[in-house]
Amino acid sequence: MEFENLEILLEKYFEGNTTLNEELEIKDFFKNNTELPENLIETKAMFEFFRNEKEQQLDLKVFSIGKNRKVKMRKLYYQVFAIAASILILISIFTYTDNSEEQIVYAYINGKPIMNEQVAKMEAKRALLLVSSNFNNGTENLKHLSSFSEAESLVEGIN
Amino acid sequence: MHRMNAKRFEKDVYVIKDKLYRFANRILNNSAEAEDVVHELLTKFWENRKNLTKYKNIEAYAMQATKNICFDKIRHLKVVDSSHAEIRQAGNSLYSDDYSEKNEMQSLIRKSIDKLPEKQKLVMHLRDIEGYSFEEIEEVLKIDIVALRVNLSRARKKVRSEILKTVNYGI
Repeated sequence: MEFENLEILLEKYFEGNTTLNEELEIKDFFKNNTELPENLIETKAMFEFFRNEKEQQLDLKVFSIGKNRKVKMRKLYYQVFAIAASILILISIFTYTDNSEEQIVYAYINGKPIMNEQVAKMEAKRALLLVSSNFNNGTENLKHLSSFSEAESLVEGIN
Repeated sequence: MHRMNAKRFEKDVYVIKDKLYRFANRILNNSAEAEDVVHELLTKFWENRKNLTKYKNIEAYAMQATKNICFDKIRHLKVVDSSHAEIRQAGNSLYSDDYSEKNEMQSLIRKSIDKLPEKQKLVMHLRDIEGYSFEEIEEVLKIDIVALRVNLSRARKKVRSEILKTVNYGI
C-alpha cells in the first residue's frame, strides 16, 4: 500500500468510517513497515498497542469444564479435616482414660502418694529391709534372755 | 438445536476466555479482578448451559454478561454516585495500575484509553483491539450504530491527540 492511500484510509479511520477490512489493511501496513515518516509515529504507536493488547491471555489453572475442581478440592479438604479431627478426638479420649488407669496410687510415703509402680516397689523393699535389719538387731539383744533362764536355774538350785 | 455438553461448551464458551479477560481487564484495570470475573462467568455459564443454546451469538452474550459483572463489581466498591465517570474514577483510584510497561509510549496510550469516557473506551476496545463488527458491538453494548461511530471517532482522535501532546512537548 502506498503512503497516499494510507493517508486517505487513516483520515477515514479517525472519522470512524473505515470498514473492518480497511482497518486490517492499516494494521498490516504498520506491522510490516518499520521505517516510517515522522508524522505517522503516533498512529503507528496506537496500532502497535492494539496488537500487543490482543496478545494478552488468561491462564486459567483452576477452571476445568464439567467439574469445578476448586469446589471439589475444598470438599476434599473438609473431609480430610473432619477425619483428622475425629482421629484426634479418639486419640485424646484413649490417652485420657489410659492416664487415669495409670494414676493408681501404689503407696503413700510420709503422706506423699507414689504413682510409679517401680518406685513403690523400691520403697517397699527398702522399708522391708529396714524392718528386717532392725529385727536382726532386736534378736541380738534377745540372746541375753537366755541368761535369765540360766539365772533362774541357778536360783532354783539354791532353793 | 445442539445440546450443550462439555465439548460444545469448550468450543463455544471456553475458547473466548481470553477475549472476556481482556474486556474485563479494560473495564477494571486490574488483572486479578479480571481473572475472577472470567472465572465467575464461566462457572455461571456452565451451570446454565442448558439455556445457552437459545442465544444466537453466545460470544456477544458472554461479553455483555462480563461487562455486567464488572460493573456490579465496581458498584460493590461502595461508590454512591452512579454516574459512569464517577464509577470509573473510583475504580481507578481503588485499583492501582498493575502494568509495568517497558515502553513509555505504550503506557501512555494505555492511560489515555483508560481516561476515556466508558462508552468510548469500550467501543474502542471492541473495535480496535478485538476487531468486532459494528453489529456485534451493538449487541454487546446496546448502543446503536450511529452512536457507536461517533464514540469510536472521538476515542481515536482523543488518544491520538494525547500522544501528539507528549511527542510535541516532551511531557
